Amino acid sequence: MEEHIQTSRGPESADTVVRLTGISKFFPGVVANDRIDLDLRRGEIHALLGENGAGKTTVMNVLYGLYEPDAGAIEIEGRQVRIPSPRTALGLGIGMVHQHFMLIQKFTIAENVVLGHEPHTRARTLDLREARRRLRELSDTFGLEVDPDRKVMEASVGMQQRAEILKALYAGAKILILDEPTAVLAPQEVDDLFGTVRSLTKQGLSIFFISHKLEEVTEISDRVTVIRRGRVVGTLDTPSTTKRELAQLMVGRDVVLQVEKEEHAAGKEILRVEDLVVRDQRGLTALKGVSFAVREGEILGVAGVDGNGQIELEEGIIGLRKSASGRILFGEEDITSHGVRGRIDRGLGLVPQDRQKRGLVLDFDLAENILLGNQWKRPYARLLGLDYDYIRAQARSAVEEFDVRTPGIEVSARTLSGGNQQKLILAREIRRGPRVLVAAQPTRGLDVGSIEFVHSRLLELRAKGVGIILISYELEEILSLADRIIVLYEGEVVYQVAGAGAARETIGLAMTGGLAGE
Amino acid sequence: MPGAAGGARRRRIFVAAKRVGLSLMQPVASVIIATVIGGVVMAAFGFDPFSGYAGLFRYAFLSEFNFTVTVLNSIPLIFTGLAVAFAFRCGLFNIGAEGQLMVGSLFAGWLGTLISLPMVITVPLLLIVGAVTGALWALLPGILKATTGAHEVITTMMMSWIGLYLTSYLVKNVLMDPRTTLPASNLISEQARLLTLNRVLPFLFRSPTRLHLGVVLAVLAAVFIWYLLTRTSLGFEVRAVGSNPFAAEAGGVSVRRNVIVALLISGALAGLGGTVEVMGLHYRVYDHFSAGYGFTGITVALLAKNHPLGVIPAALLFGALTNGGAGMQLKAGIPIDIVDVLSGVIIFLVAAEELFNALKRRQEKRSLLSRSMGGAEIDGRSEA
Repeated sequence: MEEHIQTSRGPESADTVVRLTGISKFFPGVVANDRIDLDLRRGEIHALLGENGAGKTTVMNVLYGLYEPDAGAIEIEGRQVRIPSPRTALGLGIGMVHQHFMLIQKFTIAENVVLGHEPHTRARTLDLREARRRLRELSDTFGLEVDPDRKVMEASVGMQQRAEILKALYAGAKILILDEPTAVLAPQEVDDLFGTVRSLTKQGLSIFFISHKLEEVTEISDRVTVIRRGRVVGTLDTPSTTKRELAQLMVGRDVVLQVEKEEHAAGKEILRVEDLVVRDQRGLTALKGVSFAVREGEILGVAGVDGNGQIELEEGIIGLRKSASGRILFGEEDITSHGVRGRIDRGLGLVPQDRQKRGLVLDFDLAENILLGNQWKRPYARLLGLDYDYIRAQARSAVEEFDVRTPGIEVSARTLSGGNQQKLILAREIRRGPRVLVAAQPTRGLDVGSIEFVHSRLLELRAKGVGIILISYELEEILSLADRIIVLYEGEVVYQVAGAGAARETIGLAMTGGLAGE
Repeated sequence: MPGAAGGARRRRIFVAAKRVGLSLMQPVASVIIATVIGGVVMAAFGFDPFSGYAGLFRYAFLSEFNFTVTVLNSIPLIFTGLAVAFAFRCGLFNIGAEGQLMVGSLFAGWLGTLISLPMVITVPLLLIVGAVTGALWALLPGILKATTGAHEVITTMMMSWIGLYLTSYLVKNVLMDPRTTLPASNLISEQARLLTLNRVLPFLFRSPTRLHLGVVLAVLAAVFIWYLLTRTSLGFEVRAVGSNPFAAEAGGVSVRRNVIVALLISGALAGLGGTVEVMGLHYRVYDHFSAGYGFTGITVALLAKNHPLGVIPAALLFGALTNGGAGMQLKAGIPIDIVDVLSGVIIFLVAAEELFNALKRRQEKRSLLSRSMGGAEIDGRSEA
């Protein structure tokens, strides 16, 4: 099992800025990092590739001082150090941009960037003018374009990310950790980011780039370290490896990289949405009159960048959010006024985007999570209460059928990894036998093996004649699965196209508003 | 395969037993630590903690009479403890159990003074009236919470004071026997009273006792609530709302409906608690007869970690503390206030769950370390 590939040159031959030796980190029930050895050379982009839960973020959190390692040593510029806090890390020139940004929404970008190291006037008051000036200077040096006076809540995701990077640079970072930086970006923004990252290395920065996407790892990195189950399985020079080899290392077996979709004709229309208007949490109109239809055995892909009405669409269809106007027809029946239970009873299912908040009761065990959404139905419910023998039997067979890796059905859903949580939700929703399934971001954050699994399940449903609405921020996923594609931009359908022959560039343009108003 | 099924069953029982053992650890440890701290306090004030605790224990448990008083004390606490615990499981903090209890007992007691139907009709009827009126007292907070989001801590408390003064007013101005100066209603009819246990089970008691069938009702209520919570879809939905309302909603659960239902059931339990006191012990509604049962119920629920069956021993402990504390003061001259010190420390420790969790985590880490040295491979969980 000890396959340790070391094809890259020995670290002595290059200028090493970070060296981690034997880093181990334990959490209750989990070995997150198991004797990880890792080094970073000056000016390189070093990708950390691995499935979800492999331990990539954990080891970087150790380097950034968020976790103290249970064993192992850290050397920065050849000097052994202890990093008990992010403040120490910043002092050592280490900056980290998290997957979920750590910005204060109501502050401007300039205020956020200088936070913690604010410039003062002579009267010891905050010198915002100086802050703006320094920010602009940094922004020019590194080609990171931001509007210093814009509030974070009003800035695009890409600009927020640039602000995060600038914040690290402002604090003096020479070593930058980027945690899944492309997860939230539109395709064009990804290109911009890659340009930025390359120019940062030219200025002498060294970068750890965490990702589980083979595509971008091979495109951006100089070297790549593959981590599986908390262990380093190999460090390779990127140019001398292939995607297939990396995928194999990552999951420990061969994976099919391309979805194999068989052709078949879609059946009759099963769900129709007409002029649907849905408001968001703040009462603003987030979905501005959307119309589309799904047929049996068809996958309708809903493309778009995060925050363009996807949540409202998902919750509007399943009945979690009342529609302000418009109609939803299930077959012939108008279900606009039905609640969630009525819609589930008619055959709607939901794989929610926020699986931990909407999908699972994390403190319930797996059996009770399988029960959720069935609790009023026979044979789960009987006259005098729930039939727990039946429920447990169902849960056991669901866990087996969907290959949920768990020590048993008595453990809480919280103890499962992200991929296994998602499998549990899929098991529940698919075994219910839906006629329409809304799958929102069904593979977000999952590893290659799990993604493959989810995709093949969705295609199976399609073959069985289920109508599927696939809401995804991954254009790749939509292009490979969808029979038809609609693009949501600012709460409106701005573009529709058949899945076959859809031009990626046009969709990308539509996603970023390039087609709006045409 | 009966063998395999039996194995799975055994395994499940083992897992369940382990869980019960683990969840008992913290409350039991809290009580033990509180006892030690209480002893230190006693010693600091010049009392002998050993004779103090000996006295407390003797007056709480030793002798038939003392023990029955302890149990008698715990009956209303079981009901209010259940009331608070049930609402808690739905994520609601019903701190108005005191008012629900008084209102329930008032209307049940009132009716008890008016009718004298056969016992098999009167007793259930009064219990129903007490439960329903108690539930109604929690209805408004439930509706307000479900529709406007008004916080139940505020609204149940407000309703509680309204209830307390309403019962007080009605007792003194409408129900009070004008021929006496006792601020209480007339006696309820014989048929409306719960039998004392020495009449039902004479062989168990050497002398007449005030302990009444209410204790049986309290235990039945605890078992019923336990069944409701863990074995029915109503209980499942209530717990789902309490644990993650967002996921519950997506699972076809109406959060609003469950919030109202949970508060209704909670209020009904509190109302029953007061009614049982009137029907079994006082036989009339005294003005302000409740010795803060609704509030002590919060402590009971906390110590029981909101488990319906855990409420019984927790209520018994607080029943014993009040009873034994009085004896301790009387015989050993140690002020009863020490009992408040004890319950204060217990609450503090139970609430300081984090402390215990931190200790537990350290232990788990240690056992994990030794396991990983053995080369066990564990699937990684999602990265934080």
